[in-house]
Amino acid sequence: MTETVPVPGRWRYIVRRLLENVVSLAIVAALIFFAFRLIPGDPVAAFVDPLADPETKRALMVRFGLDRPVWEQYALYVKNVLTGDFGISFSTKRPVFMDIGPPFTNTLMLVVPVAVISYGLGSLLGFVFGYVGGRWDLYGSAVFLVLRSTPPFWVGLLLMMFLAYHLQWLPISGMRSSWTAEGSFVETFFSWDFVRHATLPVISGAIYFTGLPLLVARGSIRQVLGEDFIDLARAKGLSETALLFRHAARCALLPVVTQTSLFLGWAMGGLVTIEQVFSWPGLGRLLVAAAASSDYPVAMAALLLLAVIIMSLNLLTDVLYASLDPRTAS
Amino acid sequence: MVTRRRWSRLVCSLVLAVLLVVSMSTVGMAAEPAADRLVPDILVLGPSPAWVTPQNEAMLALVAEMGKVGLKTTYEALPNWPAFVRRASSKPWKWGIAAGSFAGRPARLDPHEFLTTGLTQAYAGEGGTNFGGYANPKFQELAARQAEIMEPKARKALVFEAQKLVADDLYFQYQYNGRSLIGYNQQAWDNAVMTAGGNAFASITNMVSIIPKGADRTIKVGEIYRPRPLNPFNIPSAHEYFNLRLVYDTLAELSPAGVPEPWLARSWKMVDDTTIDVELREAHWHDGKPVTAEDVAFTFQMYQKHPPGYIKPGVDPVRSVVVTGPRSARFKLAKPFAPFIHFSFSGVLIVPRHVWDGVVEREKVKQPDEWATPNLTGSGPFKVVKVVPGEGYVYTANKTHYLKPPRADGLVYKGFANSEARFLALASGQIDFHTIAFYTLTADQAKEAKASPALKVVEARDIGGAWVTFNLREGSPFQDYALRRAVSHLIDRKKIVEDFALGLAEPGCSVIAPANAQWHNPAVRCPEHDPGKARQVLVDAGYQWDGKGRLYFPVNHKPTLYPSLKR
Repeated sequence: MTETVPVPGRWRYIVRRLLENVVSLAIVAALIFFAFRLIPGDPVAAFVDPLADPETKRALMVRFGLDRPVWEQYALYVKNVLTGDFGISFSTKRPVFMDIGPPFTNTLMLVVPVAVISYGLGSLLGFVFGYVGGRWDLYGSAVFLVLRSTPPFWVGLLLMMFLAYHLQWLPISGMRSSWTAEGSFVETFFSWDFVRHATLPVISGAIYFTGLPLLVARGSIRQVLGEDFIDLARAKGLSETALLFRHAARCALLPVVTQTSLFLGWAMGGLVTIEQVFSWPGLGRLLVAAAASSDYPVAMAALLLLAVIIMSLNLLTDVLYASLDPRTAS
Repeated sequence: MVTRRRWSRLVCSLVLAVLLVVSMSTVGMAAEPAADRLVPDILVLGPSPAWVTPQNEAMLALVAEMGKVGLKTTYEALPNWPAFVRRASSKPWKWGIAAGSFAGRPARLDPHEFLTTGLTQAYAGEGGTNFGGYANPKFQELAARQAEIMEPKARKALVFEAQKLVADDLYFQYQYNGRSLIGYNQQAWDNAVMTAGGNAFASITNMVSIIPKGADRTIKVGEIYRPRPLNPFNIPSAHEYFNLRLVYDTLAELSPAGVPEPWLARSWKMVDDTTIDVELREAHWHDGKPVTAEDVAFTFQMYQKHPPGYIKPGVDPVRSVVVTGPRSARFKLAKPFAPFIHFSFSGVLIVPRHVWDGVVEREKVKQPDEWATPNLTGSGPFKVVKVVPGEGYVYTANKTHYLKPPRADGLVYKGFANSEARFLALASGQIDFHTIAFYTLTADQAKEAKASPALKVVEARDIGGAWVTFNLREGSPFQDYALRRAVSHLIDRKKIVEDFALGLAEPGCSVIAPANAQWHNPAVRCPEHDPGKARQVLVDAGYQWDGKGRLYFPVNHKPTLYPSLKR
C-alpha cells in the first residue's frame, strides 16, 4: 500500500544516470585536453622537419592556435566539440572524422570476434569448471589465469613467429592483402583473406580476454548451484546436462552479460598492443601514432570517442539492470 | 759505534718529526677552496634508452666519468625529439650538456644545413636548434659566406675551415655516425642502387633501376610507418616525400653519390651568380597534358605561399621564375646561394598547374594541404592507383615516362607498426625492400638475413648521427674552454661504437660526417679519450679539488669562451 509507483522512479533514475554521464564526459574531455597540453614536447616539432627554422614552426603554431593561452584554446575546443567540429589533424590536415572513421571500423571488426570467442568460450568453460569442480576446475582455471596474466603483445609475437613466419600458415601482419584492390565493405570484411589476417590478432586477444568471463561465470554458477530450485530440479529427475545448461546457466549468465557490455567499450582501446604487433590499421594504432606525433586533435577525438562508447555502454547496462531488477533504481 | 748509532737515530727521528709537522701544516694550509668557486651541479640532457639506446648508454658512461673528475651531474632522459627540443631550447637554459641526434638525409649532403641550423645565431632563440647558443663571430661569418660562393672549390675551402673552427671551439661534436643495415630480396630483384645521404633504397633512382628476376613484377616496399594520405603540399616526414617523389618529378635528381643531375630539366646554365636558365625535357603529365615552363613557374609561386618544411629550403632563395619559352625558364635568386641547385632542383616537386591552380577556392579549403582527396596527377615514373591511410599505397608504372620508365610494372608500399613484423615480412618474401637507412635492421636481424640466400644486407653510412653540445650561454660553467676540453677527453668513442652501438656506427667528430666524402674535412680532430689528460687539462687551467674530490674553478677564473679568437 505504501509502495511507490515503480515506473516514474525508474525514469527518474535513468535521467539521473544520463546527467551524471554528461558531467563525467565533460570532466573526461577536460582531462584529455589538459593532459595533452602537459605532455612534454613542442607539439609542432613532431611534424615539421626537426631542423626547420623557428619562423616555420611559429607559422604552424599560429595556424593551429597553439600560440594562444591555454584557457583560450580550451574555450575554443569546448565550443568546437559542442558543435561537432573536431578540427583538422595536425599531421594529415584532413578533418579528424575522416582520419578516425576507417580505423574505428577496423578495430570494431577485431573487437567483435574477440568478444564472441572470449565470452562464449569463457562462460562455457566457466560453467563447466564451476559445475565439475575438483581437479579439472583447479588446473583449468589456473591455465586461464596464467594466460590472463601473459602480456598479449608477447603472445602475439610468439604466434606470429611460429604460425606466420616458420610455418607460413598465415600472413604476418596487416588486415588484408586485398587493400591493394578495390573492394566494398562486404568484400573487405567477409572474405577468406580477411579471416586469415584476423586469425592471429583475434587468437592473441581471445587468449588474454577469456580469463575474466571464465572466472565470473565460474563464481556465478557455483552460487546458483547452491540454490533451492536446483535441488528441486534434481528431485524432479532432470538430467545433469539439462540442469546445468537449461536452468543453472541461464541464471548465472546475468553477471557475464553485464561484463560483456563493459568489455566491448573497454576493448576498443584495450587492443592497442595487439594492433601494434600485427600492424592492424585500427583505432589503437592511430591513437599511438597520434600521441607520438603530438597530433592533438586526432588523439583527443579518438579518446573522447572511446569515452563516449564506454559510458554509453555503462549507461545501457545500468538501464537494463534497472528494468530487470527495480531495486537498483531506488 | 753505539753513540754514533744513537746520534743517527736521533737525527732521523728529528727529521721525521720535522717532516711530519711540515706536512701536517701544509695540509692545514691548503685550506678547502672557497665555496663560491665550486663548479655547480651540471644538468645533462640526453635520450632515454627507448629513444636512442647507444647514445643513452654513451651518456651514462660519460656522466660516470665526469663524476670521477669531481663534477656532480644529473642526467635527464628525454623520450623523443620534441621533448628534447622543448627542454634544451627554452629559457632559462639551465642545462650544461645536451646530447641529441640529427638524421642524415639527402638535402644534408650539401653542408649548408648542418653548418647553419645547429650552429648559427638565427637558430639560437627559443625553439631553435643552436641549443647551446654558439656565437663565435668568426664562424658566423664563415657559415654565411660559404653559402654565397657559387664556385665549389672556393666554397669547399670555407666549409673545411668552418668545420675545423667548431671542432676546435669544442662546441658541437658527434659521438658517432650511424651505420645502418638495410635489406632487400636479391632473388626477386636485380640491379639495386643505393644512394648516399640516408635514403638508402628509398630513391626514385633505385625504384626505376631495379629489374624483376621472377614473374612478380611489382616492387613491394615495407617501412615502419603509418601511411598517411598523400598530398604534395603536406609532407610531414621522409616517407611522404619518398612516395610523392615516385609520382612527381623534380628538375634534378641526386646521383647515388649525392650530386644533382638533370632529370625533368634537360640542362641548366648559370648565367651569373643569381641567374639560372633552365631547359625542360619534353615530358607529359599522367593525364596526357604536356609539362611546360608555366607549370614550373606556378609550382614555385604556389610553394612559396604554402611551403611544407621539406620544400621550403628549395623555394626560399628564389625571387622569381620567368617563363622564357614553352619549355624554358629563368630563375632569379634574391642573392647568391650555393646550395640552390641541390635544395631547389633536386628538392622541389613539380606539380601541374591545371590541377592546383585555384584549388583553395575550388575545393573550399583554407590551404592546399587541406584538400582531403587530392588529384595526384604527376609526371613521375609511377602513377597513384590507391592511397589507403593506415595501410599503404599502390602505384602502377608509368611505362611512357620520358626519361626513366620503370623496369617494374608497379609498386606497393606497405606500412608496418614495428621492426619485427617488417623484418619477418622481408624474410618470408612478403616484401622486397626496406627503404630509408634510418630504420636499420638490428644486429640479430642482420645476422639472420645474412644467412638467408634470398636476402642481401647492405650497409649505409649515415651523414648524421648522435652528438653532444655544451651550453655556452651566460652562467654555464662550460663557457670555459678548459672544462669543455676536459669533458671531451672523457668521451670514449671506441667503447661507444663497439659496446653500445654494437658495431653499427663509426666514431664521429666533425659536424660534416666522414660519410659525406665531398665535404668532410679529414683534418678535423676531437680530443682523444684519456681521463688522465682530462685531469691534466683542469690542473693546467688552475682548477682545484677539495678533500672530497669535488671540482672548483680557478682563483680569479676568467673563462676562455672561444680559443680560436684568443689566438
